[in-house]
This record gives sequence, C-alpha cells and structure tokens, in this order.
Amino acid sequence: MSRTRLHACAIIAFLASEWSRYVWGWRAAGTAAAVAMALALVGFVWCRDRRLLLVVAASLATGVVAGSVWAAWRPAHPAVPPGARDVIAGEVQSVKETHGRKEIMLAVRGEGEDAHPCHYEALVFVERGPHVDAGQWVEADGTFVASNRVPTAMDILSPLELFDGRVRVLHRAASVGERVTSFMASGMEDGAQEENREFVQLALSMIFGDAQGNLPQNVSADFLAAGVTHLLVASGSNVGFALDMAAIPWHHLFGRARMRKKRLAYGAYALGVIWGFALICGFQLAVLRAACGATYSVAAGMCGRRVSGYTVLWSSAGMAGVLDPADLLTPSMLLSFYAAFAVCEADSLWRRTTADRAERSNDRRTFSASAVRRVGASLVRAFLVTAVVDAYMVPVLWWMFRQWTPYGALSTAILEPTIELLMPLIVLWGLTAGVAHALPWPPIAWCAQVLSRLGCASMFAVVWFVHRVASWHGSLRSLAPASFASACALVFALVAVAHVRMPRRHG
Amino acid sequence: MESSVREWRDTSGAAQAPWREAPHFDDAGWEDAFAGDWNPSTGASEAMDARVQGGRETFFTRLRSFVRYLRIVLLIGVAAGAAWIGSRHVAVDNAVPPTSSPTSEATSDAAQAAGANADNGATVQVDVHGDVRHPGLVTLQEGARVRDAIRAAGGFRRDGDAADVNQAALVWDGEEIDIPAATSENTAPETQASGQMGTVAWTAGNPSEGVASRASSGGMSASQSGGASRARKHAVPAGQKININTADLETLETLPGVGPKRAAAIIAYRQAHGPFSDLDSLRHVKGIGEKTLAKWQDLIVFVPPGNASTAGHPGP
Repeated sequence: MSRTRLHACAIIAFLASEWSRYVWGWRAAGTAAAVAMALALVGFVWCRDRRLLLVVAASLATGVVAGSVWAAWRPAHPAVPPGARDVIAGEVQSVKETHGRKEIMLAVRGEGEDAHPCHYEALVFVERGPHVDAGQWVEADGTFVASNRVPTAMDILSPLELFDGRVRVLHRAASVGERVTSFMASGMEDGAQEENREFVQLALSMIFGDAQGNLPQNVSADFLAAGVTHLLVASGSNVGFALDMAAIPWHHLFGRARMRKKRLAYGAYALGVIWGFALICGFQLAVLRAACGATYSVAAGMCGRRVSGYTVLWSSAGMAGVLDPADLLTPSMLLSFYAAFAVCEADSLWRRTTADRAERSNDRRTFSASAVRRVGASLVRAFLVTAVVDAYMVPVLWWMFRQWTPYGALSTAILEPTIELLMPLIVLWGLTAGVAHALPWPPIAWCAQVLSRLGCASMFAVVWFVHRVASWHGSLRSLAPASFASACALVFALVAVAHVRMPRRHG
Repeated sequence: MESSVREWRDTSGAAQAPWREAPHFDDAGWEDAFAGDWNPSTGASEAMDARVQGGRETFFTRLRSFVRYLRIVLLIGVAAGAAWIGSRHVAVDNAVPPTSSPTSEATSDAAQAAGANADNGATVQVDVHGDVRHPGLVTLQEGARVRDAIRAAGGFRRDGDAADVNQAALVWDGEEIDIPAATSENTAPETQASGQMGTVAWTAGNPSEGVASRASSGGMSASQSGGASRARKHAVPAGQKININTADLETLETLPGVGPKRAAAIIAYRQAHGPFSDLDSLRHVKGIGEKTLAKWQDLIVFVPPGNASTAGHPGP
C-alpha cells in the first residue's frame, strides 16, 4: 500500500476515534474503532499489507487518548441536565429575531458560576434583553431545554444545545485582529466619501472575511444570490495571498531560498505570516483549516519536498482535528473541507482532460497564440473548473442550505481573478490610509486619497456586477429537502463520473 | 424558532460558504487509490494519439479530442440536473396545499429549534408582477423580503421603479406583489383596489409606498388603468368578519398574510384540535405570530361551528 493511502487511513482513523470519543463518549468511540478495525481488516485481506493494520490501530489509540484529554479539559456538552439552572458564556455567532424573541447562536466557552472551560454551541432563546451583535461576548443565565425531535444527521455531526434564559453583554478587550481591522477601517473610512463607506467594509471583507457581519444586508444578499458569498469569507486563497504578499519583501531582501539554511529561514518566516494572518482573522474555522494545510506545505518545503493537494487536505484535517476537534464537523468546517476536496477534484479533472493537448500545442502556442486567445482560454478554463467545483458543491449546499445558485460558476469565474488582482490594491489602500490616519503628512494623505478613490470605484464595479447577476431570473433557487444519504449518493455519483474510466484494450 | 439554526448558518456569511480554498497541488496522489494496477485509459485517447503520431490530424481527430470534455460536461450536467429537479419539486410542493399532520405543525418552539439542523427554513411562493423583468411565481426562503421577491423576478424594469417600493417589507406565502410603473410625473402609484372593495387587508409595508401586496384568493379583481398594473385582490369587506372556526380555504386566504399554505395549516390544526377559542389559540398554528394576530383582531370571530350561521364566509 502506498504512503499516500496509509497517510489518509491513519488520519481518518485518528479523527474518527478522537471526535467520537470527545463529542459522543466511550461507546461511540468503541463503535468507531470497531468499524475502523473491521475496514482495516478487509483492506489487509485485500492488499496483504500488515502496515495498514498497525497504522490504523495506532491511530485509533492515539485518537482515543486525544479525545479523552479534550473531554477532560473542555467538555463538549453541558455539565447540567436539561431543566437545571446554569450560566453559560461565549461569543455570539449570529442573532435572529422572530416574533419579538431573540435567538442567539452562542459558541459557549465557559459554563457555571466559575466559568469552567467548555466547547459547544448553544441556541439561546431570549424574550427581551440588551441589543446583541455577532462577535460580542455574552453571559446567559437560564436553563437548558430538552429536544423531543429525532436528531438529524447534522444534529449528530454538530450537536446544538438549547438554552432558555436572559443574556447580558460581557465587556472584553478587543482581540488583536479586531484592533488591526478596525484601525485599517477607520483610516480607510476617513479617506472615503460618506456614501462610499460601505465599500470599505466590503474591501476588508475580501481580505479578512466578514465574521462580524458588518456588511450591509443588501450587499451580502446580492453576493448570496450571485453564488459568490465565498468571496466575503477568509479562506485558503486568502492565506495563499498573504503568503504571496509576504514573499515579495523577502525575495527583494534575500533572494530565492535555494540553500537549505535559507529555506529553513524562509519557512519560519512563512509560518509566522500564516499564523499571524490567522490571528488577524480571529482564527475563523476556514482560515484555521487553511493555515493548517499551508503549514504542512511549508514544512514539506522546508524539508525540500513537494506534496499533493490531496495530501495537504488530509493533513490539514488531521491538524485541525488536533487543534479543535469540537468544530471538526460543524457546517463551516465541513464546507471548508469539502470545498478543498472539490477544488482538488476539479483541477485534477481539468489537467487530465487537457494534458495531451497542452503537450502537443506547447510549440505551436509560442508562435501562433495571441494574447487575446490566451486570455480567452484562461477564462474558459476558469469557468469550467469553477463549474466543476460548483457541481461538486451542489449536494452539500443542497443538504445544508437547500439553495442553488445556477450562475455561481459564471460570476465566480469572472470575479475571483478580478478580486485577486484587486487584493494588492486593497492592501495598499489600507496601509496608506492607516499611515495617513496616524501621520497626516500631505504626500501620504494624497496617496491615500487616490487609492481610496480607486478602491471605492473598483468596489462599486464589483457590487454593480454582483447585483446584476443577482437580479437575473432564478439566480437563487430553493430546493426540496435532501437527506444526508441522498447528498452522499449524489457526491458518489459525481466522483464516479469524474473517475470511472474504460479499461485499456489489449491486442 | 427551530428554523433558526440552519437559516443563520444559511444567511450569515461566515457560515455560508467558506469554500474558496488553496488550489495548489502538484499531482493526483489521491487518485492512485482508485487507479491501483488497473491502468485505465480511454479508447478515444488511444485512437487520437495514434493519428497524431501518424501526422494525420484531421478535423475528426480534433473533434474527438473534445470528447474528453464530455466528462466535465456530464459531471456538471448531473449536478445541475439534480438541482433543477430539486427546485422543480419545491414549486410542485408549494402548489399543493400541505397535508401534514397538524400536530407536527404545532410543535413547541424548543422542539422546533432542536430540529433546525435539518429543517433549514421553509419556502414561500409569491406572485410578482407589474414592472419587473420576469413576472410570475417566485419561490423564496421564509423570511424573505419584497426586495428578494423583486430580484427573483428579474429586478425592476426601470430604475425609477425602486423609488416607490418598500423593499424591506417581509413577504408572505401566497402573496401577490404588484410593482407599479414609475410615472413621468413621479406621482405615487395608485394602490387601492377597485370600487366596492373595503379597506385593503394588508400591504407589504405602507400602501402609500407603492407596493400593492395582498393575499389573493380569487373572486374580485382590481381595476387596471393608465398602463400601470394594479393588484388583483380580495380582502375582507369592510365591516364584515370571518368566522375562523368555519371558514374554508378560500375565505381564509382573504385574511392578510394568508396564502394557500397557511390557510391549509389553519384548517389542519382546527380539524385536529377543535375550534379556536380566542386569538391566542391561533398562535399554535405554525407561522402565525403576534404581528399577524394584531392585524386579524378586527377581522375574525370565534363562533363554534354549531352556532355559525354561515359556513365560514364573511358575516356581518
């Protein structure tokens, strides 16, 4: 059995046992371990490789130990039964108001009078109370409520506790990321005209994500309907962008890292950039996963190795499982993993499709292909790859959100490269605006003004385009409810279409 | 309340789509797991390679090379086809009045919240017409606003139309939204219904803001004049009240904010639990809240079926 497969099997076994032990206890961990060992036994019979059994058994054991440590340190369930009074504290994820009653999604991090550490999500029902926004820390006093509904697949993957009570806002010092982004935002808003201030938040969301929900409702609704909400969320490509930006000064100062020592030094620098960026983004789950993947890639680079996208995906899952097993299967994390898988699949499929043609046309291209043709070809490629990614995303988005955005591939193919081009401009805009804000020297203020106008104009163009696409007929379609099983079946069907090939003909 | 979790995860950007991921990878190592010793290859590619090597790349050979794209097209087609069928099902489901058990409709708030993970928001159907690009039925998530309905109908035909519409108003299932054309004099569009109709039962937002939006049920229609379309509507005639315990589907739909789905829910609940005793008892029907009841308090009465003189039709 190849190392790639062993690597994948080890991580799956580790995650299964760790997560099931941590979230659902010993019985679930035992079941997961039994199933994993049974599958490993089948694999052993199939390929006669003893390493598989050993690797899976070791991974299962390590996972159970890790899960037990987490369960003792930060329990994944409330300490009191439903009906008993309790106090919980945590960060507000989102707030919804229905029938005069607030429903607050809370990432609970402290429980009881002594606020002992814990890690789970609770839906808090509040009749009346102070105004609460996403990102704030609150303390809720009340009782847990039992649910009488049969749990669904998502309830099992990402348990949600129900809590009925009152909340009060806790005043906590702003995090490093909040301070950095608010400093940049205030500088950028100073330079922008009154009516253009919403573009500042949009620009910052494209770099750091919109975790606090600062964007106007109509803008986020347009992005949702156009199928490009992912552009407002910090994720893997943002981490890649941060690395690219950080590489520019390094290469100017020290040149390319070819020697081993230089490679190690650059690796340490890159790791600092990755985790610094994750810190500014407030360790949003998608960024955390992407940072784990990037760390693995950089570490491999420091050792002089190159790794495949799938290996990076598995490794990032394993690292995320070690760092934060409670959030391993939350919707955000699931989407992040699955999207990374979809991107790997789409790129692999495209490269297999065009491999021969690319080789054959390499020489021809140097002579005959014009710039227009190349741009056109890259646009077609972007569209097809994005369409494949969107196709892979359909089952999961259907199951989770019951939504479908048919024009998502088109708008993503156009907007994604556009925004990648705009990112350096946004960074420059933010930096000059911040410097001009702190040091009002006329040349800097003038530069900040020019960049502000450029930035606002480009953001206006993006918003205009997104709004046009969102206004097309049927841009956001509702879908009939889909079960977890049917979503899985559709995923397998898509994987089969992408991978099943005709056997070679002999003779 | 249950709907909340998925809806937030749905509508809040942070939870919605963190799926722009690092696209750097160098080989398809994962694919090796599928390939094994099988060494697959397509017959089409072999044929093509043979011809290329022979230097006889004809039109048909190049055409055949595009057959490789078939896999991509097929993959996209499978996903898009499944989603299209799924969206058609929503339309069909909404067209048929629900027959689900009323007990399941009237579950407690806590129970609803518990199942939110699966029940990620019901949908509503709204009929949008007037000055929009694609008038007709549109399906929206519950809690959508007039703005979403207009966008789903292709958006305003003219930019000036937006000035007269309250786009922030919430929409109801079965609602009819009429977007009046912006007149050259920029006068407020006419929104009242024809002649003998009583007061407009309910409009999305303020009637003077230009959207005539009502629960339609067939029967009387509004006048149309001046090129600007008007809302066809039915409303409870002025001074008359509906007996909520005997009213049929069509009569219930004349209440503000009631479409076929909600009317059917009221009837189903009534059949399962008996007649409604007061305004508060209507709260148990899914989707009916304080605001709705406030609008109904002068429009409905609670006469038990045995004492009702008319079969649910509006009475004096």
